[in-house]
Amino acid sequence: MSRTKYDRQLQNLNDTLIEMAGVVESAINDATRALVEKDIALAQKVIDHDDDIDSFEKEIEKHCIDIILRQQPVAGDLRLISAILKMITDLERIGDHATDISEMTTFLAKTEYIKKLVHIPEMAQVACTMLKEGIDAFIRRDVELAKKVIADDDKVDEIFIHIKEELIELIKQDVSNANQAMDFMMIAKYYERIGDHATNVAEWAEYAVTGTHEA
Amino acid sequence: MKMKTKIMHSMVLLAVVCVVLSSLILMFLISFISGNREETELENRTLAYANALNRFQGHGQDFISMPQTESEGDFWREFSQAGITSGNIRLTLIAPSGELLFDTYAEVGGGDYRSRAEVSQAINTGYGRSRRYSDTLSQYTLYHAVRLHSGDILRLSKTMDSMFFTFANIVPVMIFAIGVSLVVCLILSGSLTSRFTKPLNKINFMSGTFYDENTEIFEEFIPFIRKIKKQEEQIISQYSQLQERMDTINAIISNMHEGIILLDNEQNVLRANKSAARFCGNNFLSASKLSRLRGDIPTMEQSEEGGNAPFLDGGHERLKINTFVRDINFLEGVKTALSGIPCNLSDEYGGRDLEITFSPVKTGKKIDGAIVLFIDVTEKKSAEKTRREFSANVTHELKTPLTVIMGMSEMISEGMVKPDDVKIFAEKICKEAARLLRLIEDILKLSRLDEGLRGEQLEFAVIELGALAGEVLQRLAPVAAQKQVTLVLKGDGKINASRNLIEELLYNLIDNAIKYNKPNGEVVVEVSAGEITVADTGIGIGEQHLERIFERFYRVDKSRAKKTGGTGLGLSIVKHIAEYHGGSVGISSRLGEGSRVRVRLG
Repeated sequence: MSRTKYDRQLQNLNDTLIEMAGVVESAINDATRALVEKDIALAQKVIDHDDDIDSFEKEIEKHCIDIILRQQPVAGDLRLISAILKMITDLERIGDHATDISEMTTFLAKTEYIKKLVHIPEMAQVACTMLKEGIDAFIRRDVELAKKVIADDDKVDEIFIHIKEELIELIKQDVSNANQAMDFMMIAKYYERIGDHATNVAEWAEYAVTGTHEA
Repeated sequence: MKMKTKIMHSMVLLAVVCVVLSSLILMFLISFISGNREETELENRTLAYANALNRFQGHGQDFISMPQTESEGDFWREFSQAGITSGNIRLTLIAPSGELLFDTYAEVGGGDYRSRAEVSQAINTGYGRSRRYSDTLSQYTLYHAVRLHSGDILRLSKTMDSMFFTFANIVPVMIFAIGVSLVVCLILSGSLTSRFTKPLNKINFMSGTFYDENTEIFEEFIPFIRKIKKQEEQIISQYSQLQERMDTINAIISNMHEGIILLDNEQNVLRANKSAARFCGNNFLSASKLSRLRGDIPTMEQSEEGGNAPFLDGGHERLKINTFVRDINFLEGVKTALSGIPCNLSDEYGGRDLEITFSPVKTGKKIDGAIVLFIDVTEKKSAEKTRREFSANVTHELKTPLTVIMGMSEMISEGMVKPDDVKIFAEKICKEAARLLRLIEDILKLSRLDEGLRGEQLEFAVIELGALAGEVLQRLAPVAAQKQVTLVLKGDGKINASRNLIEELLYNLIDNAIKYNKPNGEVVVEVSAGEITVADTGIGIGEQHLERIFERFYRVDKSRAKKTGGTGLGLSIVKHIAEYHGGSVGISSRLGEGSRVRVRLG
């Protein structure tokens, strides 16, 4: 009886985590779309929903500690719960970055962009895919996919360096570009951080299965 | 335990029991019969001896009591010798006092013999018998005694093997017999059991007749076989019916364009078809790949590898829908359906507009699960958009000349126009009305072409393209002359097409080429079998417009439209005509240098 309850608790925990991941994923996707399409309303929606992500984090944290204290899980289950505990921190940070990007969008959208956005959407695309696959890897306990995500982080870093050089070039051309260039630099940095957090998610996914955590 | 072993065991047991029992019975019978025979014989002999001795005594020869003389002694010795030789019989003569007078083996004299049962019996009744076992029980002695007329007791005795002894003697033989019969049994039982089981083994449940005609079948098996045969036939027919039904359903579900997912009441995916996998970003496939890696779930459609199982089949371990789809709205829809309320969701997934329907699956009041149906409405939505745009454009295009007509006619009727200007106004009204008419004609043509594309068959004939192009050029020559444009016709060719439509196509293309040409420009029409090219040296079209130039009402330069008097439908009509003939239109242009439209037919 108590084991059944325990299994149900674990299942609930898993479901809530998936829900949180879904919300974070759509937050980052919406933030990117709002930036590209200059959609202030959508950006505002992302900012408003950040509280949801925070409360998800608190709920899952409480859930995890509850299970650890009452059920005293061991081996694989304990690993899973610790991985979830670590993972929600990363997810919450990604949510924060989505909000940060959206906050910048709310005033950037009112101006004409200094250049057509090409690399930032590309970087966002890669980072979003990494996040999606990182979560997929966790949900399906797919170590191979987790490894792919970890490897993909290099792509994000590469594009980031590219964007940096491009923005420096734009500032050199015209100093009046500097203001917006700095904003885009920040946004690029946020995406770069999202990539890092997605890598963390993938690493925790790997840890949940194999019990080894690199880095 | 195998039946064969069981039969063999029973046979061996039976053989052993038979051997033991028969040898015991035989032994008992033999010893009983021989014992009886010996007894009778001894009795007869005792009586015969007694008679002889009595008769002897009747003749007054009284030497029987006590062997006194040599001759008497000889007599007894010979008498008893005869007894020994004729059956190992011991002869004893006892005086009434119990004293031993003569014995074949023992010394004369000694103890009182009256205590012996047979002797005391003979003294009392005239005849006595008894049987005594030896110490070892292996032998016993029969004693028969008779009282002679002289009062002496004649006793005859014979020692024989007891039944126990006989038994002890027979045991080794019996063991040997059991051993032999065991061996025989083992050999025989093997072949016997296989003879029994052979017909059973020969029944081939896979074949239609179950057994060969040559096989001997025990009658007892026949009802059993018949029953199985009947059941097998039933199973085969039901199975094939079921298979057929399954195949039909599988074919429908796996080939339908709509995606379908079947969930149980705990949100686990029971089945999903290919389209659903596509709409969910092919996550099902990666899950199946994963499950194959793990080796625990015989999951998804093997269609990727060319297998024919069209479904994701949850198998042993079921995966929850949130393993594949994480969209909050989608999961909310699933939850709503599982609470018994059907609902809809329209959203964009992976670049496609989808209508998703969540329906609960109920048995009575119990909710067993839910069906999620994905309908791709991307094309429908884009068609709707085109239609909306077209209606808006048509309304706008129709309103423009009508507004002019209305305005001018109103001014005239209000008397606001000077009588001298009425003519100019009327000309303008006429011009706008003509434009309106042309517009309506074009729209009608287009819609007729749309209809035509939907199945109305126009009359096709072989057309001389060169001659037809010549006719069109002739008709447009005055316009060209007005604009100082030279017209050139090259090539010839035949084509099977609708004459009216091709004429319309040529007219539109050449008209455009003249209209957007520069003074002293040139229009070159080149025809060959299946291809028409119209090149001009006109103003050209910007690269950004080329993509949309064949859309209805699309204008490169909206301000020029009025001046040239076009409807904005010409190229769209050209495109429709080309497509109606199974062909295509391509345009290349350079701003300021001219354009070149190439139509491929059939």
